[in-house]
Amino acid sequence: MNTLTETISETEQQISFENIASEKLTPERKLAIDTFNKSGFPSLKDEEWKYLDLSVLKNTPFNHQAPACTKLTLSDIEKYKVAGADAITLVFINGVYCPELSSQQRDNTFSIESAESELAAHWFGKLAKTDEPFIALNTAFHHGGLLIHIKAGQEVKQTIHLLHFNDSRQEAVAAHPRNLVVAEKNSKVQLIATYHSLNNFTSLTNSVTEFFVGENAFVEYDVKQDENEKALQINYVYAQQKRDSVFDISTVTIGGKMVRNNLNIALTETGGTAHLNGLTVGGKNQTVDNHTLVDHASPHCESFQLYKNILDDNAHGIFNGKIFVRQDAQKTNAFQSSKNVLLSDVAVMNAKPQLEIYADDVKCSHGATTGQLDEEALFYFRSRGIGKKDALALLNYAFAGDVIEKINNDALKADLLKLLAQKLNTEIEFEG
Amino acid sequence: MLSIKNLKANIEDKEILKGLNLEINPGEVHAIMGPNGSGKSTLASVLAGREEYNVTEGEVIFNGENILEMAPEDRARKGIFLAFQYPIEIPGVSNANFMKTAVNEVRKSKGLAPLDSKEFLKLMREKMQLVQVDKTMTQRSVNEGFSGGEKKRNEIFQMAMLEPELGVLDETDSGLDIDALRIVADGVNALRDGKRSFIVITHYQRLLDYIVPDFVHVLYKGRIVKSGTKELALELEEKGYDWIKEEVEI
Repeated sequence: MNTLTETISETEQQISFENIASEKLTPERKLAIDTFNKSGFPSLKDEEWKYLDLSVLKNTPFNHQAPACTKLTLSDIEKYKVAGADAITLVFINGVYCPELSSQQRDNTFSIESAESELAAHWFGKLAKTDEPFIALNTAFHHGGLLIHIKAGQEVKQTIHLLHFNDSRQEAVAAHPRNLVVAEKNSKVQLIATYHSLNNFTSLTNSVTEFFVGENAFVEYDVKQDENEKALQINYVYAQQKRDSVFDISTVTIGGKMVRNNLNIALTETGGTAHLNGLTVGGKNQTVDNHTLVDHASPHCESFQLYKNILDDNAHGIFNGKIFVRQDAQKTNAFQSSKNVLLSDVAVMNAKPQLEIYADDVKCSHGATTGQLDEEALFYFRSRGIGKKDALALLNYAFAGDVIEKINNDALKADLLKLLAQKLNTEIEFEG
Repeated sequence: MLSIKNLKANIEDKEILKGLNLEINPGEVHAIMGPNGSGKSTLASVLAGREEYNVTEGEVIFNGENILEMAPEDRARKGIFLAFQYPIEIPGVSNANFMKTAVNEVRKSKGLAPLDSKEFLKLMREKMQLVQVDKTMTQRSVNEGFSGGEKKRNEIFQMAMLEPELGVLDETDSGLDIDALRIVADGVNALRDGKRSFIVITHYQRLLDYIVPDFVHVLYKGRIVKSGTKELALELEEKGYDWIKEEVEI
């Protein structure tokens, strides 16, 4: 019976274009929607999606082409900027880049153009392939997005802040942000992406970002997911790293009903380094799924992963970290750690490290721990006069702060620590 | 100040304290000695409110109130301080931040305004000097990577900061070499002001050379079986516990 029901509901989930201008309906988009409709959404039977319940996403009739840039004003977005950050803000509403709400570029160390430009075609979709259903969907419906191109040998002094809104106040909107970041040889750039939602209806943000990190280039990308309890998010990040490059990504997930992050890092040439850090603070009815894949395809590369979850109430956390060390990737260092705290009896954590090693001279390790909070530490705090609630908050703050400390952007770090204190529901004044 | 009457407590259904009586007046230092397994640390844990221990009978009156129904934080706010035998390491929380939170929580419970950063630093500097703690220790995470001696000194520093009426030292001397022991004892002595009382739980007499008690009690099989002055400790050091056991068994 179950199989039958599922089949029917999945056939009903055929998605088609409506009211789209014919000149926008490129062969690539048509092909992508056909690809999606052939596969349908992933199901729990799919190994890569087995812990994640997508039923709300599947059963919500989204508008994939909702109006965008007129939805918000400059003053609406002001409070979503990172306080104290010297940043170039690029605003996306429902996946559409809104230049009139964005900062004017102040230097020429990089350029911005449509991700559908002739230049962008060089990179677009080279890493994010449509055999993943959500990437097919994004490829079919994305709104052009941006190519952020950092010139060779240049350091972008300001932070580039990609500020994403999903406006589902009038209807259920599926936004499909699609961006490309190309950091040429010897360049350096720090980017932030923050995701926010305004909902009366369920929203879906289905974001795809591809990074091409050139030789000896340094890219830091920090993601803050702060959507609300009606928001669903699927987020793909791909990075391809050239020789001696560094790619650091920290993903901090505080809000959202369901969040699925997919990180795919390819260390394609020798000497590359990647840091992947993730923090989830999940509460009532939240599900946060972090899937990482680090592909060590060349010798002398290093990757470090630290993922932490604090789960309260009936929150559900998922971590699946795959490290792939190919035969040629000798002298690889690859480390992965997943540490999780369950604050309630009904919170659930699924942690699954996967190592596939085909080289013989490598250092790899992984560890996953999931536990209740440390009763001894809690008693120690209480014995000093600190109440249970505050003691818990302080302990959780310390546990989580460890991940945030890895972020190099001080303004964002301060912003996240403040958000963390709020989420942990405490009035304690925290200091470093 | 503290009156313990017929205190019985168990852990995992094993009775450890079997009717303990103890009276402590302001300013007094009481040493509690006894062989392993006699219930010394259980007494400290029960006074501080560790939840694994069940009190089955008796009462503990502190300044007129029965504290047995109180949460650990409330006991601390009312002025009971436990120096842990094995202080916990808390990565990510600086000692200074930890103490600021604790001091202000205690102040709040007394209706006092919280200390601002400047006032707090002043207090901290004063107490650091009093118990010989250096600045780096307050900047590090609570007990993280501390040596045994540093951990115990940190306990005394915390006691100095919180200014309790009753300090319970649970085997604070164990694992310390003589220099570390002297520093810890000096810290405790600096906090003796004629009003503050102490329960000094120890396995060894040598601590009492430095922290000189007013009374010495011998705890055996969950009861205080002998009380005396500091000379009793010397006698125990010399003769061991066997003669006490014999006395009790008869």
